[in-house]
Amino acid sequence: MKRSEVIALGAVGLLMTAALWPSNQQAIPAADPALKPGDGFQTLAFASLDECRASQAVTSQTCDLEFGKSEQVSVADAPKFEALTDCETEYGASQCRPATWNGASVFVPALAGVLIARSLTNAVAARSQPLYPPRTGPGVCPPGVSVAERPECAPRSSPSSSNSGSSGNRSSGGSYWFYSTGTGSTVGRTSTSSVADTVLPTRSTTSRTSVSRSTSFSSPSSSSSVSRSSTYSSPSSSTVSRGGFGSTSSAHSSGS
Amino acid sequence: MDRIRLTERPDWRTKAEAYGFPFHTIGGAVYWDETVAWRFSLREIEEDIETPTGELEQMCLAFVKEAMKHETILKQLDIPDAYWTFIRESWGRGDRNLYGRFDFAYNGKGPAKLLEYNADTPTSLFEAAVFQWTWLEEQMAAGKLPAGSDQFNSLHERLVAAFKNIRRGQNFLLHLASVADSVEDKATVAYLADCARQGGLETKELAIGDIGINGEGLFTDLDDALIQVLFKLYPWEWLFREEFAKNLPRCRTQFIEPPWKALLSTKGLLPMLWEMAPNHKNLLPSYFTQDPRAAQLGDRVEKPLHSREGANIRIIRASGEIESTPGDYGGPGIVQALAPVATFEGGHAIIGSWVVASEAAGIGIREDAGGITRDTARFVPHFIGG
Repeated sequence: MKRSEVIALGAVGLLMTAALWPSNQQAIPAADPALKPGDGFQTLAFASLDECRASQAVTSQTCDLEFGKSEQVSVADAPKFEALTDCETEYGASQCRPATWNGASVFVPALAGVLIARSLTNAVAARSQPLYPPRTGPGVCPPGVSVAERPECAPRSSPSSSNSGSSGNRSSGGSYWFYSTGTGSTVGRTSTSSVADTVLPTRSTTSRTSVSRSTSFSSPSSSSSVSRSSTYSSPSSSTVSRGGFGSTSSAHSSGS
Repeated sequence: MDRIRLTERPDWRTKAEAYGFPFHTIGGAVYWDETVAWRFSLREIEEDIETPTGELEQMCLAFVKEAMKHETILKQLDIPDAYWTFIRESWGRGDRNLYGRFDFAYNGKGPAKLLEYNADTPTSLFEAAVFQWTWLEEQMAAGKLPAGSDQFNSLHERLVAAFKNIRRGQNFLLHLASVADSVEDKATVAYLADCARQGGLETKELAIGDIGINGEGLFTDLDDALIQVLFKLYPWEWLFREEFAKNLPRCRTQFIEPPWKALLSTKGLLPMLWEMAPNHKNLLPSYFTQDPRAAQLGDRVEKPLHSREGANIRIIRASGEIESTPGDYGGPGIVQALAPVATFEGGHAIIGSWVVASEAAGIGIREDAGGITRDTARFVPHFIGG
């Protein structure tokens, strides 16, 4: 899906929720009344089944079930490439594997983990999707954005260093792991917590063969405006002059 | 890519007003027009628009990096030298950017061609991000558009995420300023403030003319609180030429868009990009007016470095025929080869391709009669369908 999943406005609240899951994806029911965006859910990224089972965040049965589903759908879900080199250009050296899809030989990124969404209000409701190694790419990071935060602005010559998708360190010192989803979104977590705290939509996947698309989890948007005391308004010495800006605007409209 | 006729939603005006989109009709003339819609294939969106948008943004960032080293470039872009250090510092600090809009000529028959980059104060945001989105959802629900249609539009999601990331997840008070008497600018700022709050920030809106300065040379709001981070829907090229701007270099405010965006929000970017990547498929041959090569372009367009809403644009055809728009922008300019745009019934359509935090985020389409897109343009929704 190439559009926002949920839009909320402060003035009128939640406008609408786009269909969250495509109906053609068997592992994920198209309509799951147990898990609505408004409920509040938590997204967790697990590098392995063992880590999932050890986490206690979800039950072992859920881990088995969701990892099993992800393995089943990972070929259909993953971006597919006709040539190994094209796949490795996107995902880094040794991050791709051969697969068969609709009778054709293709290359797909290897499964690097599973993203599980669990409802905070309903213990059994969970959804999942496969995770792949972070995408690499050439180019310039926008100012202030580190490679750790946006792995695709890493130079192509330095592919991710391990199968878990570890890529770089955070400034705080903790190791930060990145993954990508089938639609090309970037998912991040720290090495010590499975809570996926970065689910950044990134550029979409354009693979060499046609692909069935899934959507990534997005954190539920809150429609309420934040009401808290103005903790950030520091008092200052009083203003000595005002109204200096804006003289050009009398002649023009400022937008473009 | 084609243009289809469609039944309007009977209640769209009421909805527009409830959602905070009061300028759907301007001076009695329709601005939001849903009697028609543009249909794209997924291939057209991904290969012809989304990918080039990301690539051009990368080229722009590479250009700014280069421009930081060469005073000749800053001079050529007509940036006042009093602000060169101010701009370089913002780049060196890594001040993050929020958004921008590339305007493309595209008709589905060849590569999209960059007309200009509104990197500093783009508008037509709310209608692209929200109203276009609800239009699609409702028209699908009403059975007017096939279920499963999609739209290239993750603007809202990305704006919320981008605000969250402006200071790496840190919360802060964001001030947002626009000119006091523009309904459209105020609505744009109100929407961005909403996105910022959804990203966890606290916000405060004010008129650009209400910004004050305290005894220490720091910017303040009407309550005398310090302005630490300011979103300003007010172009850098105007600020740089106002007397009050002498306070900028010492003000310690973080700006959105950051000062380095001044190097991109100028038509001077176009000849610079052409110089960097001549014959790039998404660029049009462009030269500064005084460049002798400018005269060799056939059908061409003359634009001042800084003009807005299609003012002071001249289209000159090899045949000698001229079309021009009035305006009071002067100064140095550029000449760009004329691009084939999407046409219909005597009008034309321009694709506005958005970037949020330097990533392709969606499109909005504006149609206008004649060859130049002005403030009389109508916003027409789009969808992706088979």
